[in-house]
Amino acid sequence: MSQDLTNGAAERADVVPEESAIRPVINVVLAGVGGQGSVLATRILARAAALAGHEVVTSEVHGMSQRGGTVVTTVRYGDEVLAPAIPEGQADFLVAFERLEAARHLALVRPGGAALVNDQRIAPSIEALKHAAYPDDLQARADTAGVVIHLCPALRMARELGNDKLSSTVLLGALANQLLIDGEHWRQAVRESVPPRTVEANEAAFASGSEWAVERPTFSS
Amino acid sequence: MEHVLAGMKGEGESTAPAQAMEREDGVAAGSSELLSGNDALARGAWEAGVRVGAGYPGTPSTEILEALGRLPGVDCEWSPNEKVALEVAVGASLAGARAIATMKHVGINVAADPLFSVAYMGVNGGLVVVSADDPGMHSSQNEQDNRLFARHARIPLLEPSSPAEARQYAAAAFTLSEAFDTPVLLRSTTRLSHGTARVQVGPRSDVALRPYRKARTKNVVLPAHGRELHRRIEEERIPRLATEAEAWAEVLEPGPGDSGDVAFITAGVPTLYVREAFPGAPILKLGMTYPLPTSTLRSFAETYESRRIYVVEELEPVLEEQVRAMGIHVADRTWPRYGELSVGALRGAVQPDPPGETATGSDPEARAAPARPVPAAVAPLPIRPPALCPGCGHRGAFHGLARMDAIVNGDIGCYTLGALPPLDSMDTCMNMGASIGMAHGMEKVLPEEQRRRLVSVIGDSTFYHSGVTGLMDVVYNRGAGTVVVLDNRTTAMTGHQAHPGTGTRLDADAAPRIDIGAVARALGVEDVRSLDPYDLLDAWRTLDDATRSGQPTVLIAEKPCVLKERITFGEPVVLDADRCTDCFACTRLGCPAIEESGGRLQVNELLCNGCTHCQQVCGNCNAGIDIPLVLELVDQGRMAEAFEVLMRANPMPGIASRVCPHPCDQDVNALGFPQAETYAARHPKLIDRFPGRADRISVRSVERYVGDWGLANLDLAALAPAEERPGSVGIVGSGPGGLTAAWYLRRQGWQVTVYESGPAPGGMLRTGIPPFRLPREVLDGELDRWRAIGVEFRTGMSIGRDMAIQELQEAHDAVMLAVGYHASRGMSLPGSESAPASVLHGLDFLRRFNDGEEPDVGRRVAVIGGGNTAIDCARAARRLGSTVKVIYRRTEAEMPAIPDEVEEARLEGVEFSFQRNPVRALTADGSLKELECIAMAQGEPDESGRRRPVAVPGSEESESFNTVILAIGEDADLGFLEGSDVSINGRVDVNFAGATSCPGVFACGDAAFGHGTVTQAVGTGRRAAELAAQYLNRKAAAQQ
Repeated sequence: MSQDLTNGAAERADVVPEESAIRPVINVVLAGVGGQGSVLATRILARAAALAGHEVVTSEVHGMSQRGGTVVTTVRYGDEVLAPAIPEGQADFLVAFERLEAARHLALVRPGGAALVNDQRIAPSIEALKHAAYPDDLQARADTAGVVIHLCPALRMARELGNDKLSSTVLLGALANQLLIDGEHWRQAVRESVPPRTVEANEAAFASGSEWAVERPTFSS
Repeated sequence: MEHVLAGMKGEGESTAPAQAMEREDGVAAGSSELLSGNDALARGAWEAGVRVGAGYPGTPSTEILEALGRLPGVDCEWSPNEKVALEVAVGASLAGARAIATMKHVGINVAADPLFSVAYMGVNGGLVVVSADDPGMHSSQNEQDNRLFARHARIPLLEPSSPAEARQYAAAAFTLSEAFDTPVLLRSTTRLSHGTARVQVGPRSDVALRPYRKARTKNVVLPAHGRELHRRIEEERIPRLATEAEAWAEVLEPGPGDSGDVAFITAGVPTLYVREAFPGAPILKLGMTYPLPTSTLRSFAETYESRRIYVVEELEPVLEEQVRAMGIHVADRTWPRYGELSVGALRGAVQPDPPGETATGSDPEARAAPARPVPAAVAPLPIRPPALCPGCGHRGAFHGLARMDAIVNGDIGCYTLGALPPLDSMDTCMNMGASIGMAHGMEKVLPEEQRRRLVSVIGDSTFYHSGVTGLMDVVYNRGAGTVVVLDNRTTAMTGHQAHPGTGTRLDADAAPRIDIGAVARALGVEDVRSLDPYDLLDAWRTLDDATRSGQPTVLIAEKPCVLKERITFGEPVVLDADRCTDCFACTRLGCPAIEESGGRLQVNELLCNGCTHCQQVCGNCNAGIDIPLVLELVDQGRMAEAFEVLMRANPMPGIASRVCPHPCDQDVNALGFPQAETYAARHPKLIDRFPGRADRISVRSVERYVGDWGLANLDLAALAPAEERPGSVGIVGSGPGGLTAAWYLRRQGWQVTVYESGPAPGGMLRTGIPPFRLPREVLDGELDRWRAIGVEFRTGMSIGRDMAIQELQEAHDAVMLAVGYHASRGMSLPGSESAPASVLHGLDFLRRFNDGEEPDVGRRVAVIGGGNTAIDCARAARRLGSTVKVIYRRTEAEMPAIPDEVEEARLEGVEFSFQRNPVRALTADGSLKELECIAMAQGEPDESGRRRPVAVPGSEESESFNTVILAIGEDADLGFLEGSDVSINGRVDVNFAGATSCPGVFACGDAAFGHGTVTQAVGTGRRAAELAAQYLNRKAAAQQ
């Protein structure tokens, strides 16, 4: 697996007792804006992890998520997973579907963790912008939090494939063969999770994300 | 007796058949699947052979019944409300089937009546009631702890901790119900319902229907029967259940990592938090949490007597109080009685090693969250709350309610989002169906002025749920309420479930559609009308008429949910950036498709579905006046209301109507409101007086007409704020921006002091605008209003000279900077130094003229510049008897002055010389004799987009003048901000709403937004005041 992505989660002393074959618990936070497909992406990740033989626990808080609000979900997997939500500051990885939501959820990631961020801006409401500006300092915030940022032009790539909504699958494609899940399990999870008539388009989006990741020297080792 | 749970534990080992069977639902029995807690609850119930499910949608419970409905062999229905749902389930149970009722926590309140009685009656087929609680209130109006209901109703309570247990407990609950002849309360929470994990599933049990038998003494809860039933509960059922509870308790023995000094009693999801936060610690996990397993509790407490025993639970201390009542000593709770628990919160609250004791096997450092570098101060991030979708019909209804300044009793659904700014159109929201009854109660008490603005707003599903009975009350008890039913033909907020008005059922079959209008008429409401929320003015007219009708009225806004039906009304709205006046009136709709970027607005064409709400409110008024409504009210002769609507956006209509360049006229007439021809016939004086525009409504004339009505008729005493608020604002500058901010802040009750460096308030209105444009009786007449409402003016006070900005900040809770553009720009004019008295600065000249002085400017005056100051100087000098020529270096089309003022100046005999610029003053004896000017050609475009004027060499010509007035522009004098936290960039550095870089300091008008008109200053003043008020409210709340 790539060390860059999990940034050494497997080597963390607090999750891997010495001389143990127990796989570490991987904690992933997914954050986006209602309507971006982050709930579906959460289900795909959970299914992929389950196919890879992990115990999986997810948590999502929704209800108003379709109305353009922040949506944050968590996926935890490994040999034994307990609490549904990830303790603050202990996520290994953040998948952010939008830049502001990336900045907002950096605090959930542990120092040394990483974030894959869709390079997309979705304007918050004018009412919200009266009180705070859209941040231009994502990188600086990540540096402060000790989190490595990988910016992926998933929206642009999805648009090239003809459908903006594929950007969440593009983003998942960039995670193929990462996070202790094989590419084949990822692809199977995508096939089994998306609406049947969109399987082909989602497979293409996933492949496109995977290719992007391979071409990124900082992204795969 | 055999414990119910026996055989259910170790699921997958004992209950799964040898080979997996493919079921219709696609989930193979015996296989393991990722299921949410809700899916797992449905699965468990299905495996237990449940035949009837009923519920009402509510987060986080909704998916239970949806999942159950997808499984074969179960009759599932969305009932109109939770009470009916439980009654349906009770009926099915008595008839011999296993039945389940599902709802969110507050739904149990609605279903409490049957719940408490079926607890006496007991069951025939197993009966399970699921309550999905919402600690943390992710999507609820309260976070009541429904475990208390079980104790209160005297029924067993099960609390699964994971999806696997949810399936297992749901199945076992039916057996428990039948074995103990009791309904069972199964409690989930958001984290369980909306979390997923691997669940081993099993096949459906073939549970036969039990025969129905009439059992009067059991199923008819007359007092005589009830007394015996209650005795049996207390003396037989509860003790037997307490024994059963022992089998649902599980002790986790100490393991690696145990600190040796704490032990835990817990249940449900918190079990997982305890296990993760304190690995290896001994835990007593309770599966049945009412009644409690007393033997297990006592033996656990004895075993760990030497340790501190914590009872870990969210919200109410339900377990803790019962455990303490048993005489068991437990540690004091160290986390709040509200909100959700988490691993981190628990780690923080429970210290394993009290001071003085040594850790015995655990390093507390290892438990603490990893160290994080101390973050530098970073800017706060904008929040992203949910909002009504673009094109949502609710928005139009709320806009109408805001227009009529309605007192709105709201209800529960998507439309509750109408309560949030900027719509801010809801006064109350309490519980399902409450709106109508609450409005009826208010109607009994409120004075006439407020009573006639009362409206209740309720959604379709909520109307069927419990609005019907409220409406019945209004008719029966002679109310006159106006009820708006926002009928989007679905239960939208919970994810588009069917209801009695959708024509579909839970399983999507066709169903009879219950017509809301017919229901209202049948209840005796004679006035039932439709309301079109996509025609904003018509929606207002309907609301306005209904609230004045004096009888119960039901207005049905039947417009399908745009999200569910994927509705597109037309092409995305195109915003003409060249003509947009940045008044932000459209942003008061709160439409997510309207976005801000760099202080300008744009329409996101991916989000816009062409509903045209924003076009309908665009009057292109810099102050954001609701022009269509003003025109409508004037047309109806409702002058006081027209004036009130004007004042909502512009507190100085008399002033503004005389000096504003009225960009609104073109747009309002283009909108065709309200049929200009008819208006012209009825209001001939309000039609454009310019030749060729006789068919156009002159909005400026309407504003002046209404503004002057206010000057003549307004009762100043009635304007006083309704309440005083504990916070003060210091406003620097009393020009139109500062005055406007002062007005809106003071009207809300804040204490307002305006600092003015001159001798009288008014700023540029007084020093810059000559009386022939703005009569002083109008200026002073309107300024009386500010004094009447208690704005304090401190004239002759210059911030920076008489008082430092820091002192001002200390003296007030918030500061508003509205200092305007009062510094004249200079220009190099060789020779002019020899005749200083002949070279005047425009603003100085105007100040003297406006003060009543008659400066001696001689026979011939040159005015240099092309802005409004230049034109005012020219017209003033003309009035002093001089011949005046305006010399401007660009073309006439590029003049920033208001075209009508230029036209007036021409009519008064002012001459114009375009594309010329002075280069030298020719003087003699200390007086100006001639001005040498050079011709200017158009060069390359500059940063303003206009072509840069370039001097044409050799084109110099001289002309005789006695005085030259330089009016080439003004700047803000911001020296007083040096050393403060307010950053400047030539102007005060602000965001689009008027927030500066310094918290608590706001800015408006020219000094913040650049050179603009009086009306623009009014617009920015109001917006900055709104922001300042929000700041003051937060500050006041924090100090309370």
